[in-house]
Amino acid sequence: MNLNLESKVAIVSGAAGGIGNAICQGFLKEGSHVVALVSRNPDRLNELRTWMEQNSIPQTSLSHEVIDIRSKENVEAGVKKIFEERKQVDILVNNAGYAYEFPFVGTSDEEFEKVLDINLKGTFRLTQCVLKNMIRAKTGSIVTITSAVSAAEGRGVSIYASAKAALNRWTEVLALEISKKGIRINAVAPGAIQTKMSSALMTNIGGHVLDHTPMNRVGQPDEVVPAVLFLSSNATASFITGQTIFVDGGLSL
Amino acid sequence: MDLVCNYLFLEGIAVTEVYEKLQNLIVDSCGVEVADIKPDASLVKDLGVDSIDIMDLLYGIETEFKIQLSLLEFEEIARKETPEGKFDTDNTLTPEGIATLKKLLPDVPGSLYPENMMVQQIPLLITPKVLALWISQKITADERD
Repeated sequence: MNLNLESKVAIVSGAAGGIGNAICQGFLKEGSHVVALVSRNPDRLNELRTWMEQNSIPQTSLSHEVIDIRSKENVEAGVKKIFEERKQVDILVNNAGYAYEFPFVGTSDEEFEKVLDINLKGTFRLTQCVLKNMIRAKTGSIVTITSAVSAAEGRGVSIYASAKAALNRWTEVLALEISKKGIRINAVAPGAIQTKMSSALMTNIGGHVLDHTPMNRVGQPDEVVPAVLFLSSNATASFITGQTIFVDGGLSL
Repeated sequence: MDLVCNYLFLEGIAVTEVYEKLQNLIVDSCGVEVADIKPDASLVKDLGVDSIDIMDLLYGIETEFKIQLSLLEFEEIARKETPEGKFDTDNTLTPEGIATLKKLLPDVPGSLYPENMMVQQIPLLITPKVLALWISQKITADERD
């Protein structure tokens, strides 16, 4: 089935991470223009640019913005610039996140704030700014990367799991608000995926997670991408909104 | 165009032009037929516009007129114009609060004020005429700056 994502403009936050990089590649392969958001160092996109070169994808198909989603001013200025340059954005993938594992009773206020600020409030801030423009255009698709720990398992990640569960519910409620404006919003909840960020989590709870993953293996970032593209596309998911797809090898069952 | 003639111009701004553009924005943002848009109709109560439509409309106004409007402004101004602490009691508008709103929005029909009006119900008072005048005042103020 044709995803019809050619020439679409997709903003992907957390683009330099393992899943973010794979999502960018997915859109680029489909002929979309990707605006990659990174929190600090754009050099972290070099790996993606090299991949583009190897796959004969024009470098002009990728642009980037350095946006710290913890700063409202930063998000507003960055999104304004993107819309001035691109005029329209068709897709937003909220992928930026911060995984943190530590016993709840020992978690500091600073860590509470950081986990909620990046995973939850940062997603709200970015979506709010992009939505404003999508509402004017009466079209758009938003996909938020949450986590399977929003629904199952997650020992040691209570704050992170709470934030991701909140995003799943936010996806449902926001769908009620924005559907009439022609905008869809969905979520993808990956399970244990082989990335640097998840490796940190897996150090302590990894074996436990695998015990509860019926497919008894970790997933690869590439395995998350098809669900993201499917939900992003109006050719394949035009009547789907407010849903969360678990890409987790059965972890959430 | 049936906007009353005394509002045709406000400090050099053609309110009628603003009103005509606003009508188009209301049609586009709120899915309302142009024939149903009357100057004194409440967007919410009479035209059935919901909060996301109003946000859409405000974004449209921002783009079209290059000004920023916030629904909270009505409340903020009215609070300032009312003796301190007298605007509302536990979120219900006091007679003083209602009187301030009526003074600030003299053209809004009395029928749009609900009984025991809550602060959150202030958007009920927004009519196309109120918006057109508000936009015109903002443009004038911006030009002055």
